[in-house]
Amino acid sequence: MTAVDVRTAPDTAGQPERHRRKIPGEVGIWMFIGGDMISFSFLFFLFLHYRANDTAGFTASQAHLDQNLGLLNTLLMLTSSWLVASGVRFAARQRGDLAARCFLGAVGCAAAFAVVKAVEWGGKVADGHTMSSDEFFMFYYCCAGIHMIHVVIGSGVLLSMAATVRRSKLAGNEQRNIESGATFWHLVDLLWIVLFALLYLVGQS
Amino acid sequence: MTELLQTRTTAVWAALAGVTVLSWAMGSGMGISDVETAGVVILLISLVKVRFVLSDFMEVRTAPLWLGRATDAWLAALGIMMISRFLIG
Repeated sequence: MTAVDVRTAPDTAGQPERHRRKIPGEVGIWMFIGGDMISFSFLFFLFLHYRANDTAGFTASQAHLDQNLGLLNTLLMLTSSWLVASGVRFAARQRGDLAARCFLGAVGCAAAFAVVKAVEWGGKVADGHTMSSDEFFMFYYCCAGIHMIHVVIGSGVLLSMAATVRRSKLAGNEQRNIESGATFWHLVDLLWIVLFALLYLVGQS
Repeated sequence: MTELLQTRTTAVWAALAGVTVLSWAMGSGMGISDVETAGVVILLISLVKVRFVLSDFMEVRTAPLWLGRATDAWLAALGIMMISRFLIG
């Protein structure tokens, strides 16, 4: 990657590091991420559009969601993203053991996220709130379901990253692959942040 | 453990977690009583959180400037679109 600028970025307290500006990971992963962001933006707009046409109905259905579980899952996502970002930094310093622990910790957060989602979905279905109940629950299951597919794929990527950093010292392309995988995982976190606000919080007060 | 905790990334994570709890409290009837105002504040907070995830976790902060401009443009468009659709019912 062509360096276009140089600046000081204090990554670690008291240990400033010289960085050349470069894209984290491969350019291709950013193209994929851009496409995913635009697709989800369309979903977010559709949700708000349908909500605007039936605010009372959406608010009533939304009240059946457990905001505490939404909060818990958001904290799990944020924590997983923090661990992945830290793992990438350790990997860049050839600290494979610490990097692997961070990535596996993130997978643990992802597994906990999935368990919370399963409990939540199970409870909703038991209460009779299914995808066909109304427009709110259609969006709820669709958006959270598509996001869950991202979580499953991302967890597989994180496991592969943990195996890579444990196995050997990283070559340049392996470091880029680690960064690409991490960037994908942060996308999963980023999308959930907006979903949490839209599905659980907005309109309830 | 010190290597993990004493970083800007950890400070950003702690701040994001704190702001998440604040958003949750506003969506749970604590704080702002007006639904529309609370909704706009919650959406704005989520967009600020997303920007920090992009800049610090996804390392856009140290990436070529065009990438930061592109993600900022997307974020601004998303914010305008979501907040306007939320307010104009």
